[in-house]
Amino acid sequence: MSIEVKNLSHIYSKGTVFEHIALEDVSFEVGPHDFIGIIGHTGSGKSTLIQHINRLLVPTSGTIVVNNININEPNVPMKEIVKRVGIVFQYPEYQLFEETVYKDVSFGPKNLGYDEEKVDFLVKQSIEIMGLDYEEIKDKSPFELSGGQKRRVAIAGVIAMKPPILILDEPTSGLDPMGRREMLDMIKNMNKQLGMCIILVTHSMDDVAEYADKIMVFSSGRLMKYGPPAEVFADSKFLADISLDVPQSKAVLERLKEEGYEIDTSAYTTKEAAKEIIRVFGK
Amino acid sequence: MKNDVVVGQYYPTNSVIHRLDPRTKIMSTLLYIVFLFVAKNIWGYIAALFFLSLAVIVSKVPVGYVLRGLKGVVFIVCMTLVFNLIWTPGEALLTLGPIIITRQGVMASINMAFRLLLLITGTSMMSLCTATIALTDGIEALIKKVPFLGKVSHEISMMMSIALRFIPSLTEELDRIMKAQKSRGADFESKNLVKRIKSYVPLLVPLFVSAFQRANDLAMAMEARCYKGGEGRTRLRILKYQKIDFAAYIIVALAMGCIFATRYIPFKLI
Ligand SMILES: Nc1ncnc2c1ncn2[C@@H]1O[C@H](COP(=O)(O)OP(=O)(O)OP(=O)(O)O)[C@@H](O)[C@H]1O
Ligand SMILES: [Mg+2]
Repeated sequence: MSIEVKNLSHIYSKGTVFEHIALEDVSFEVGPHDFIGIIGHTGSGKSTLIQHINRLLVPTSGTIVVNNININEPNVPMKEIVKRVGIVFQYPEYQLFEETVYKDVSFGPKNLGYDEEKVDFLVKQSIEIMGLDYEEIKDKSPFELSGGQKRRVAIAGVIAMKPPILILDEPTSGLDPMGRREMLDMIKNMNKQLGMCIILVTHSMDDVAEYADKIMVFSSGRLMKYGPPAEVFADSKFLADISLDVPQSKAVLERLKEEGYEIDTSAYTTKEAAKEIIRVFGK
Repeated sequence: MKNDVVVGQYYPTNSVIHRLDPRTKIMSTLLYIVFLFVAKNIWGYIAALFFLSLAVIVSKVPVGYVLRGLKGVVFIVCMTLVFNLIWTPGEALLTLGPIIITRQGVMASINMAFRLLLLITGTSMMSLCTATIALTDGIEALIKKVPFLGKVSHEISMMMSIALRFIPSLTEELDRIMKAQKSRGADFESKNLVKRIKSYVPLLVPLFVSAFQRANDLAMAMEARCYKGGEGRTRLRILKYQKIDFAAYIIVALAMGCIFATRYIPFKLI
């Protein structure tokens, strides 16, 4: 197993009037090549959870094991952890600071102490993985790029460290529909072609339905469900109870069923739903 | 780092001190600061510490919170201590090569350290017990009384309330940027001073960029809502002294009297 979390709890500002239980007794395992989607309403603890996976937050109780090392042992250096787990925060473009794109992307690999040749290779590779033209962009200032390009550069800065596990917190927020799709396709590619383990936090049910192999559902700091999309989206009443929804395509099928059509509502991606609709209405 | 910043942080409880008029708290704090400089021996500081502790107990703010404000200034206090210790001329106590430590130097550094520590804890007590809105309302009301500042009192207090309002946002932002750079392997705890200062560049650049962005957004938002300065503005909350405020003023006056009286305590502790 790549990530093992056991009985993780996190309480913010413990012992003051601001005390807030953000995570409560969370346990799960993630495999080395999984594509996991995390969903949950605002304030359900998603961001708190992912920050534990590379020791940016220390658990109030519980253990986190990443690639067989217990990352909460204080003698494990932070460098060893960031080598294994990359985190892309929400609006990562706000972390850019260097004069040129090249320098900014090389910040991570340089911190890991790699030699110039290796840094050069990693920077080029990760800028290209993010679908940008390396020669054209490397000497530009990150501040003169468009919002979407900035975001790609910022993500390149994280994958340049070659982490086998990549966690992304709402990487598509604020992008146009085209940009969203491209971003998600790139992430899927990292999972399929490069074999990276991906954990994607999002508010979009459609995105997790289309892209994730397994889904975690959080509500009020608890892990309510963890399984493949078909299983998670099977119970739309449960999802509504915790202020979530089923994907649009599934909602259409359910609506048709309500209207009295003989239709199977188990599909959750656009493609499968379209097939089912054609089967019923097509001929 | 985020939690080290106590200035501008409000800790809500329902204590008497929290319910006081902000003007009372501001005036009392000012008096307290003045009297920290009026005190001239250790007894004065002990008295000040006693009254401050009393205020902390009454306010129900956890002691840990009050002391947290000191973390950020330990360095400055130590520097002042060292400078006072080695550069005050007088009767020599100890000679270490070219460094001469004098009796006056020891006295001066003890005085300075006490003053600074008491000053900082005292002022952070005020901000812990007063919501920022109330604080700036109070400051505005007090500035109005100053003859040549009265005309711009609204502008001054608006600037202050915006600045205070932004402290938590910026510390939150700093926290976020810090986490992002840490996940890219940045090391902010290097023992090497040059390296350490350099390591702050990846924090400060994004922080400034976002601060300017925020300032710009705020200016737009205020203009969009027809903000045009203090003239003709009415207030939502009108400050009015209550009975507890008069009681508080009397208690503060007595406390300050005690601190003043300590000047005449003849025997020295050190
Ligand atoms: N630094 C903090 N101090 C105190 N409480 C916090 C802090 N950060 C988050 N919280 C609280 O913990 C809870 C979980 O927050 P978290 O950011 O993990 O939610 P989230 O699921 O990521 O939400 P969103 O979808 O809005 O990003 C929230 O109720 C939040 O108010
Ligand atoms: Mg979040």
